[in-house]
Amino acid sequence: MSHYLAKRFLMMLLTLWIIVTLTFSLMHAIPGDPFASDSDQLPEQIRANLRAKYHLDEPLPIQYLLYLKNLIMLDLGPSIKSDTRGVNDMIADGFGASALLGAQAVAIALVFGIFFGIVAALNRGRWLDYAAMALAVLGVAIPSFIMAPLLINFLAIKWPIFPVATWGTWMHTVLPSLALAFGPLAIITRYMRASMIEVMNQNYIRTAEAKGIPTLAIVVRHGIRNAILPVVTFLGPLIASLITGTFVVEKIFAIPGIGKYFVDGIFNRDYPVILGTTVFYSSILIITIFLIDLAYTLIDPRIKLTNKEG
Amino acid sequence: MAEQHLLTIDNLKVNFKTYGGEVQAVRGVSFHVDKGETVAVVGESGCGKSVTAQAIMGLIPAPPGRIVEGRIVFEGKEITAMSKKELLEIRGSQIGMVFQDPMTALNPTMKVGRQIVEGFVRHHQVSREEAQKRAIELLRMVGIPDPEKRADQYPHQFSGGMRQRVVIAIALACQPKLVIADEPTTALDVTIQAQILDLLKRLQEEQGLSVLIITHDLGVVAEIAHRMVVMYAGVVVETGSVKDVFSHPRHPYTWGLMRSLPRLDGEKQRLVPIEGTPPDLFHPPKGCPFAARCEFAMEICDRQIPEPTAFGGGHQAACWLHDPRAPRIEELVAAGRQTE
Amino acid sequence: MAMEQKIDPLFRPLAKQEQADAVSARPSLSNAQLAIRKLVKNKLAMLGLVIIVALVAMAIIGPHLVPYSYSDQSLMMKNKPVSAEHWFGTDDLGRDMFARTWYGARISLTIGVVAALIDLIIGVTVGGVAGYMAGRGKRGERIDTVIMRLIEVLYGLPYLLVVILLMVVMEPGMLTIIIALSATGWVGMARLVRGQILQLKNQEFILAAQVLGAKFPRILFKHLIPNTFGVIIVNLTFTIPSAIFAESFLSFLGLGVQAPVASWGTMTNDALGVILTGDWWRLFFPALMISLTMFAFNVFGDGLQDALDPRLRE
Repeated sequence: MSHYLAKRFLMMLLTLWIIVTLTFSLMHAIPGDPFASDSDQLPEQIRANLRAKYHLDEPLPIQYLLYLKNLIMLDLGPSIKSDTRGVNDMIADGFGASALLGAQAVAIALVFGIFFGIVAALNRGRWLDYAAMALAVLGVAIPSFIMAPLLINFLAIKWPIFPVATWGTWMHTVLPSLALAFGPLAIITRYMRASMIEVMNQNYIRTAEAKGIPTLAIVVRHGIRNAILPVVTFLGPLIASLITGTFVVEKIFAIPGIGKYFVDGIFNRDYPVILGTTVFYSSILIITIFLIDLAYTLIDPRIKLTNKEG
Repeated sequence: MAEQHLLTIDNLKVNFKTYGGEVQAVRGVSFHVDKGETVAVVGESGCGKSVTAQAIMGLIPAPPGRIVEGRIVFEGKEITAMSKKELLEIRGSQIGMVFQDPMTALNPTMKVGRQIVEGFVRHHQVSREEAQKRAIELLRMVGIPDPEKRADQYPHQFSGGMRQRVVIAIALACQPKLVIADEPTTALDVTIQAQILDLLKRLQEEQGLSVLIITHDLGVVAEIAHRMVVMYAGVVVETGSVKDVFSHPRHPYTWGLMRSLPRLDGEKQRLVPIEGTPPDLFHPPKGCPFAARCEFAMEICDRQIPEPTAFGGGHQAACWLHDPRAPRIEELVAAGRQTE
Repeated sequence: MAMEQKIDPLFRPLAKQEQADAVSARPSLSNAQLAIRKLVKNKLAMLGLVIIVALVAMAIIGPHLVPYSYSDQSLMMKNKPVSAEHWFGTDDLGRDMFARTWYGARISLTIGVVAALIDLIIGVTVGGVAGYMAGRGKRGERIDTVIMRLIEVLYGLPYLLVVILLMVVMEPGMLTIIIALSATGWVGMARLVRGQILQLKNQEFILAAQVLGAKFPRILFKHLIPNTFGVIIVNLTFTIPSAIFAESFLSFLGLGVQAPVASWGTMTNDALGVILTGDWWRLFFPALMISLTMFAFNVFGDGLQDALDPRLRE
C-alpha cells in the first residue's frame, strides 16, 4: 500500500514536471519578449532593467532551471504586467472565489446529476425519464458562456432575484455556480442513467429480487453503489471542465477569481502568469485525480491499490 | 389430481414485447411439483423454460413481458393473482432461487455474508449478530471451508464453484419449501458441476425440499430429478417420471434429445443431432411446433396442436402419433425411417 | 379396428420436401439494415439529422440570400432590431447579422468538421497501430506501451487548457485553431480504437487472415479498422460538436478567428454587453446556432450509438 502510494506520488511529480516543461517551452517559444509590445513607451534602459529583473537576459536553460528552483519553493514567479504582485499573490487572491464557485458547482452537479440519473433510470421510458434526458441534452447543447448570459437575463434582469454580476455576498455566487454546474450536471445525469440502467439489469439485482427485497432497498443497497463507479471516474474530466469553465464564467460575471487572472494574463500576453496558473491548475487536477483513485478503492472492493500498476 | 400439489402451473402463457414484435415465449404450459420431489424442466435454449421459472417467482420483467393467461398456484395460493407486497413475502422465504451464472449473480460490492442473509434479515427481523451467525451456518451447510472468515469477504475472492455454493446458500437462507434452480451448473466446470449437483441433492434430501431444476442437460436430469417435463417452443411435449421418460420416451423430440446425448455405458453409438432449428415464436406454427423438424410428421401435425396422451404413472406425451388414427410407429420405421 | 386399414388423410406422413416448405421463413435483415431501420425510427435522431442538414445548407446558401456581406459596415444602421431588411438585425457596426450568422456557420462548421476529421485520421492510425502491436512480441509490446503512455499524459491534460495555451503561442486564425484543436483532440479516438482492436484481435477471422499470410497493414486496414467503423462514426458525431464548442470557446476568449471574420463564438462574445441594453438579437442568433448545432450532433450521435449497439437490439 505505502509502496504503491510512493509510486503514485512519483508519477504525479513526473506528470507535473512534464506539464511544467511543456508549458515553459511553449511560453518561451514565442518570438520577441513580453515587453516588445510596450517598446514604444519604454526607454531602452528600462527594458534592459526589466529583462534583467525577470532573468530574461539569461540563456533559456538557466531560466528554466531558475523557474524549477522557484517552483520547488512553491514560488510561481512574478507577473510582468503588475510590478507589485507575483503569480502567488494572484492565486492567493483569486483562490477563495474560484474554489467556492468550483465547490458549489461540483456539489450541484453531483447531487442533482446523480439524483436525476437514478430517477430517469428507474422510470425508463416514462415522462420523468424524458424530462431528465431533455435537461441532459440542454446541458450538452448550451455551453456555459451562453448559459451565463441567459441566467443573467432571466434571473437578474427580468426577475431581479440575484445580482447581475461581481462578487460579494453568497447571492452573488448562485448564478455563476449554476452556469458552471449546468454542463457537468447534464453529463453526470447521462452517465448515471446509463450506468443505473445497466446495473439494474444485472443478475445480482435478480438475485436480490428473488430474496424478496423491496425495490427501494434494492436500488439503495445494490443499485446505487455499483452504478456510481463510472460517475466517479468522470470526476477527473469534470474538474478539468470546471476549471476551463471558470475562465468564461468569471469573465462574464466579473468575478475576481483565478480564472479571471488567467484570462487577463492571456489578454495581456503576461506569460509568467499564464505559466504559473497553468502549473497551479495542473497540480489541482493531478491531486484530484489521485484522490478520486483513492475514493474508487473505497467504493469498489475489487480494486486494491496494491495490485494496480502505477 | 384432486390432491393438493405444492406448486401447480396451469395453462401458463407469457408474451414478450420486443423491437421486432411480440414473442410468445410460453404458450400454455401445465405441470406440477409435489412436496419433497425434484422436477426437471428440460429443453433447448429459448423453449420458455427460464421464463416459466421467472413467472413462478413473479419476476417476469414487465414492461416487455406479461402473463397473458393461466394460473400459478403455490400452496393453494394463486401467485398470478398476488399483489406486489404479497409476492415479496413469498419470494425468498417460501421459494428460493438459484441462478445460472454465479459470476454475475452476486453483488460485487457487498460482503458475501450480508448477501446471504439479506433475505433472512428481511423476512425474520433478526439482529446483526444473529444474522452473521446464520450466514456462517449457511456457508458451512453448503460446504464452504472456514465460513467465519469467508462471510466477510467479497464475491471476487471466491471461485466459480464456491460462488455457486453461496448462491445456493442465499436460496436456502429462509428454509424455503421450494427451490427453483435455473441452469445451476451450466456455467461451471464439469468437475464442479458434479459437486454442485451432489450438494443440491443432499440438501433436497436432508431438508425435504422441493426442487424445480431448469436445465438443457439430460445428464443433470438423470443425476438429480425424480420427474421431468420436456418443453419445446413454449409448450410441454412430454412429462413423466425420469425412469419412464428415459426408458420409454414417447415424443419424437424426446427421442431426438436422447439420441443427441453421448452415452458412457454400453455400446458406441453415432450421435445424431436434431436437424433444423426451433420455430420462430413471433409467429408460432398453428400445429405441433416440432412438426417441421420431426421425422414422423403427418398432415395433421401442421394443422392442429396435439393433446397430451396419458400412458399411466403420470407419463404423458403430446404427439399425434399416439392418436388411434395414426399409423403405428413400427410401420413408419419399417417404411425406412429410423428411430432409436 | 378398421381404422388401421383406411388411413385418415390427415395422418398421411409428410415427405421431407413438404416439411421444408412448412417452415415459416422470417425475412432476415442484415445488421446495417437493422441499424438504419432503428435509426430512422428514432425521431429525436432524425430531428438532429434534419437540423444538421439545414445548418449545412444555410451555411452554403445563407450569405447569398441577403444583399450584404458579413463585413459591410453601416454606421447608419447600428444595432437595428430584426426587420424586413435585416432578418436577424444588425450589430454595433451596422453589419447584417443574418449574413454574419451564416458566414459564421461556415467558419464554425468547417473548423469543427476538419478538426474532427484530422482527429479521426490520427486517432485511428495511432490507436490502430497500438492496438495491433499490443501483445505482439517484445517490440510490439514496447510500441504499444510508449503510445499508451503518451496518450495517458495527453488525456490527463484538460483539453481546452492545452488548446488555449497553443493559441496563445500561435497566430490566431482558422488554420491555427484547427491545428490547436487536433494537437490533443485525437487522443480520445486513439484510446477508443485501440480498445476496440484489442477486443477484435483475438477473434477467429483475424487469426484466419494471419494464417493465410496477410501482411500487417492489410490486416489493420482491411480487417480490423473496418470492424470498428461503428464506434468511429459514433465518436465522430461527438467530436464534431466538441470541436465546434472549443472553437466558439476560444473565439469567446478572444483567441479565435480575428475580426472582421466572424464565427458564432466571436459573435457571442461581441454581444455580451447587450444583455444590459436589451439588443437581444445580437446574442440570440449566434447562441441559438451554437446550441442547435450541439443539440443536433449530440442527439444524432446518441441515436446512431443506440442503433449500432448490438446489445440494445433484440
